[in-house]
Amino acid sequence: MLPYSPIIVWLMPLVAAFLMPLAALNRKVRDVFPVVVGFASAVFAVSMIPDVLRGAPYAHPEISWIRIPGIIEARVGALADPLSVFMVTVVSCIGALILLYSMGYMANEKGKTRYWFFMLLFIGSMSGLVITDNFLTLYIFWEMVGLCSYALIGFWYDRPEARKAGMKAFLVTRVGDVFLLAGIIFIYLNVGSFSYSAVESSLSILKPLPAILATVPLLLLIGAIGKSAQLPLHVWLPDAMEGPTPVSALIHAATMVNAGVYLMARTHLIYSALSPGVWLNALIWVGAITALLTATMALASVDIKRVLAYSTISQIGLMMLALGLGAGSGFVFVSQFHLMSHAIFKALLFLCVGVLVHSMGTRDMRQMGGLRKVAPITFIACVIGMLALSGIPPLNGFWSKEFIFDAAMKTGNYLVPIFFVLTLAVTMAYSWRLVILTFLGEKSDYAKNVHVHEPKVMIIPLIILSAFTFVTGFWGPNFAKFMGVPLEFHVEPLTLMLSTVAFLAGGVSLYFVYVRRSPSPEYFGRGFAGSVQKLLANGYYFDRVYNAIFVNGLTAGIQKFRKTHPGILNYNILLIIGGLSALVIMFLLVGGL
Amino acid sequence: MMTLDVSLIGSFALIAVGLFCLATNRNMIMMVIGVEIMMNGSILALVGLAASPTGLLDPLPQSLAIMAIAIGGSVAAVGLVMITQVYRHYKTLDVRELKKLRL
Repeated sequence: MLPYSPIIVWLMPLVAAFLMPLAALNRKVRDVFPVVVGFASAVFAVSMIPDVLRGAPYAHPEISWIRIPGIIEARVGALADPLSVFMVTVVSCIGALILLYSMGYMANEKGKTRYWFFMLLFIGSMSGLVITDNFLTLYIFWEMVGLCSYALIGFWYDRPEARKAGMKAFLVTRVGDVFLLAGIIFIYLNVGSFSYSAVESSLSILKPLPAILATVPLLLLIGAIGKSAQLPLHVWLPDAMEGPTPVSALIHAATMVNAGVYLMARTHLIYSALSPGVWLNALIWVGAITALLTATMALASVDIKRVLAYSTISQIGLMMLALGLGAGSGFVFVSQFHLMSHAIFKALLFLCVGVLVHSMGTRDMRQMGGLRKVAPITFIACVIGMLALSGIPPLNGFWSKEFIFDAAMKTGNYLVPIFFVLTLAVTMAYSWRLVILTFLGEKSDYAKNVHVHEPKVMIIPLIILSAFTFVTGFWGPNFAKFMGVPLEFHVEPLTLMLSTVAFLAGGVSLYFVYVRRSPSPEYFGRGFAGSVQKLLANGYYFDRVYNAIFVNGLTAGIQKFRKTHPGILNYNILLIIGGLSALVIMFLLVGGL
Repeated sequence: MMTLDVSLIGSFALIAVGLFCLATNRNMIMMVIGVEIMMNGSILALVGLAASPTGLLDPLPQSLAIMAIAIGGSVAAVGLVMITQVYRHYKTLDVRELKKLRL
């Protein structure tokens, strides 16, 4: 590895972010500098792979960060094990490609210094999050990622929807963060150290877990649910589409939502020796229900980016499900392999959609259509991405989904494969629905008046990512070796048959609805089908309910509480005198004096 | 011990007077004077607690007290400036007018 890679890989983007105001002095430097930093950090990340393959553990110099003797001692350092090196490679490589793409996408925007600053900070803190070796710095980077997402989702701050979406992302993920912080505090109080290795070694000593330490993974799971947008706390991610498209790509493919999966994989490795059954079951059901429900929400959305957002939530659900299937690093491998496939094809899809949104100026799919002629490269790249997303061989999505499916079949729990097949069918339907509505068919009146152009800096990342979509599917065995797992995978006829059935079910219904138009579009506007359609388009009314309880309900409660503060100074002073005399009487009675 | 008792009783009396002034007056200037009286009461307690029967003087509480007096003067100045501005705006010294500033 290049010297000091595990430190430089996250420190460099962070330092570069704070140098942005200096770089902004020259217009040319401002736009090239962040991209160069992104690629340099990717080189450092990739350089760590051979060392991990050789199995030489990285001797990490720990720095004593906070030390008050006898009260607290926090040591921080970097940890280069297969999981963290894999994650940091994904983050920095895809981050670098997205930075390159941003040069084209953001070419004519105001506030680019701010944009580059937060993008670099985002990539740097995500790299730090995955490569740090203790829970304390993980939490700090976790919050930094949250801050960057807030600032970038609300990048176009003169649009009220963007401001609201940024605020929503910040607040909803904060709910999870509180639980994560509580979990970390429990760990520190019980183990006396923040570092992963100390937690792991002390857990193996304490075979019968103290009850409080057994609840820690559940608290961390709620933190991950917030960050990875799983079911009760998923509402921020579809709204986060108000940000610029490269930001969405970064949040969905490389950073932010993967933080939750990473945390779960890390906890999995720590707790795998103990395998508390409650936790694994919680992971499975959070994942399975999220995957299916959000996939159906994607079916009824007309916003092109929202479809992809729901699809991200659904795919992250599959990763969570894979982690919950059993204890051991084999399941971590399965989940991380899908994370890699998803990161690549989802980045590809977002960047494709970005080309369209950039030139059309709208995200409504009903105003697109027939774009395959005007944007041929984007069309091909998008089809490749969709093939991978819907899991069609030989692309990477097929392989990683088969791994998960295979693992699910072997658990003997028959509900999980049923959820999986249903998710596959729905995924097939919503992904090709997007392609049919935007690229195929007749041009809408709106699309006829718009000139779609594909700048070179935006096309190059598309081509690179498409190539990776083909290649990485075959990396399964190598990747398993990298993660230190013996891979005994062969395509089971039963799983293959079931996924074929799922593809056919999704594909045939899609063909009748969108190509043949045989139940006419009006059919979905009334009666039972109409109400189902409305339910899906409103995302099962999660937003509506949360708004009623937490926004309107809280506001009403606060208004009532405010009535007790009349704002008359004399009245307030009287209350102060009353309080003081109550204190004096209390002291006299209890005898504190 | 006599000094301590006298000064503590005196400071309690001053604070009580100041609180009474704040609780009953609506005139803003009177309220600032009430705050000043309370402040002087607390400074008196500080000085009284620092006094020792042998007559030795500890310079630290003395300097603290002098500083507190100076700060009290500036508090009054800031308060009076605000009152002037309020008077220019509302043409009254009644503190209830300021309720309008509440959201």
